[in-house]
Amino acid sequence: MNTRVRWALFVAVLVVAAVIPQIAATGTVNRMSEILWVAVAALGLSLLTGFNGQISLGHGAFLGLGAYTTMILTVDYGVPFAAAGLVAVALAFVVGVAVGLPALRITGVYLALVTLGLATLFPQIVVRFGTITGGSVGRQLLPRPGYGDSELLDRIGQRKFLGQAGFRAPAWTGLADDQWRFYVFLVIAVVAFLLVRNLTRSRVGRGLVAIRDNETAAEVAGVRVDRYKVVTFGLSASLAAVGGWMFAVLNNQVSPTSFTIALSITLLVAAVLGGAASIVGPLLGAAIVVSIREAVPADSQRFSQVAFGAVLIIVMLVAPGGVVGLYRTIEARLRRRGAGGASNDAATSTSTRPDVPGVSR
Amino acid sequence: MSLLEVDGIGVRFGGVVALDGLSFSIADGEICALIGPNGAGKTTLFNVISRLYEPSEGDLRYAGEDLLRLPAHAIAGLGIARTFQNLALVPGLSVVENVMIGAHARSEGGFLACTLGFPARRTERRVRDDALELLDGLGLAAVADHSAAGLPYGTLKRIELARALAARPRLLMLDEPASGLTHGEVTELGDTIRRIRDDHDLTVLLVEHHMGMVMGISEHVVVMEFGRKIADGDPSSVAQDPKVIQAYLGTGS
Repeated sequence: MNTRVRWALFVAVLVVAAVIPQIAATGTVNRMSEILWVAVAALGLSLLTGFNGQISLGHGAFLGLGAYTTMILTVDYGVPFAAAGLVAVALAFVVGVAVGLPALRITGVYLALVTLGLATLFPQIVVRFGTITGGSVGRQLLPRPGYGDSELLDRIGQRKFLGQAGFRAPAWTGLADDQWRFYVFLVIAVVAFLLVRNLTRSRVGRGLVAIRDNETAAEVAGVRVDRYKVVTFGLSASLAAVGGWMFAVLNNQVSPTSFTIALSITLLVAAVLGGAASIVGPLLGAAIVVSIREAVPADSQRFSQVAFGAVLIIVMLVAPGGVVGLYRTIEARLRRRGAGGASNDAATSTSTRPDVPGVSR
Repeated sequence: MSLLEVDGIGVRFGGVVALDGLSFSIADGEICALIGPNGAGKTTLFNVISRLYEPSEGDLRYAGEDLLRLPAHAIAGLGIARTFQNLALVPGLSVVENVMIGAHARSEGGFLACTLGFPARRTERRVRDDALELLDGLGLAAVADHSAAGLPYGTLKRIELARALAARPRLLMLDEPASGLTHGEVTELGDTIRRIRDDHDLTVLLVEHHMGMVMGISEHVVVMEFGRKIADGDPSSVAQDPKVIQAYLGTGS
């Protein structure tokens, strides 16, 4: 696909996305909003794992951090949603860097295990600080009678902003809350995707891929390997926190059960399914993941975990590059057939391909 | 005037002495070949100069700068570029992007500038044009947009050379550039190295087993064996040195 076709497609998708909320039911709009928060968080994971080669099974924790920060700041302190989001992003960056520093010394499976620990730890920390977080029941961003441990909520005692806190559509827009929310999410997602696209196509982006494929070569070329890895971890955590902000805004409630290992794995599945080292991949992956979960009846949600596992295995076997990787393969094959042995192929076929030590990952 | 001074460098891996008080210097603008049997420590020295290995003793001065005080990522910025014996390309990037990686140290733009896309775009164009020009000069223009994985070995070696040149180095270190090449390719490579040296005003440090090429293109030859230097001089005098002949052919007893 050349650049012009890509941009045309991008605009077309954007127009469709902007029109749907005008005609679709609230449930559909909210589903699309859900796809967007999963997509933004998966984008962060794609940047870290797909482009930079650092595996994280703990991104659910950063998402939770973003969601809880948003809830506490808006409900308890009356901070506007936008400001709460900025604080959440900054906080996640700091925590991400703090996790990224030790990650310099551990790689691969070990890093996966350590981050898995992070995912396990997060719900426990939430429960431990129950007086702020609402404990294992969680808390609301909107008042809903009969929900939660009212005694605990009374003890929290700072509910004065509850009820004003919900993310409401401003009157001038003339939009329903769910429509307004979706449009805000859409803008956030577009900005996030364009910024990450800029980054991955730049000098820094090449450095990130070089670190993933051959750290020595990157370092010798002058890439500041340690700094790049740590900052990428921070940025990735920040994107997950943006997803967390969107989560809190969409669901108007946060509870530790939402941010377990299952979420971390869902994000990874979304990133891998779409194509981890790509920009559109996380969006496609998010759409697929949310659709799968939607297709599974609510009373057999356990089955959706199994379904994710099965889908992941099939993807790894059939198309390790995810949807985007599959597309690229097909496109390359079609182009080759069309060109019928153009100059590229002539250069490739001058000799058989020998083993190239050091190049394999 | 010497560009690089290796002064009493020693490297140990556990009990194994890889380099043992190695000293020599490279004059500005010359092609210096580092030869010796396998395991003599040639690549180890390359890795010391790249700051990938920490020597246990000795000094390393480059254009008056103490290299041992600097981290590995700062070496490229001083104008030292290298290729690798076993290739170290980035399969996830295209050929031209691999060459652009070489220009990393002399381009600008951190995370913030690159994320916002400004002013990285202008620099990006310049770096890409430079890379394409280098590829063209090495006869690789046709594969510029090809993935760096799955190309013939000789092509990959030339891509590595282009990447090293993209750094606009003053000292170019080539680790066995002729290995795995056909006879014709080796002759061509020798000419290429000379031409590059003249065109780009470089100093070349070359590790090579291919004696024909070494003797044909270098002005200075350093011979190593077991981590030590056994001969140092111009190609013809080194070739007649009894210690060198013994190291290469054995004593015959």
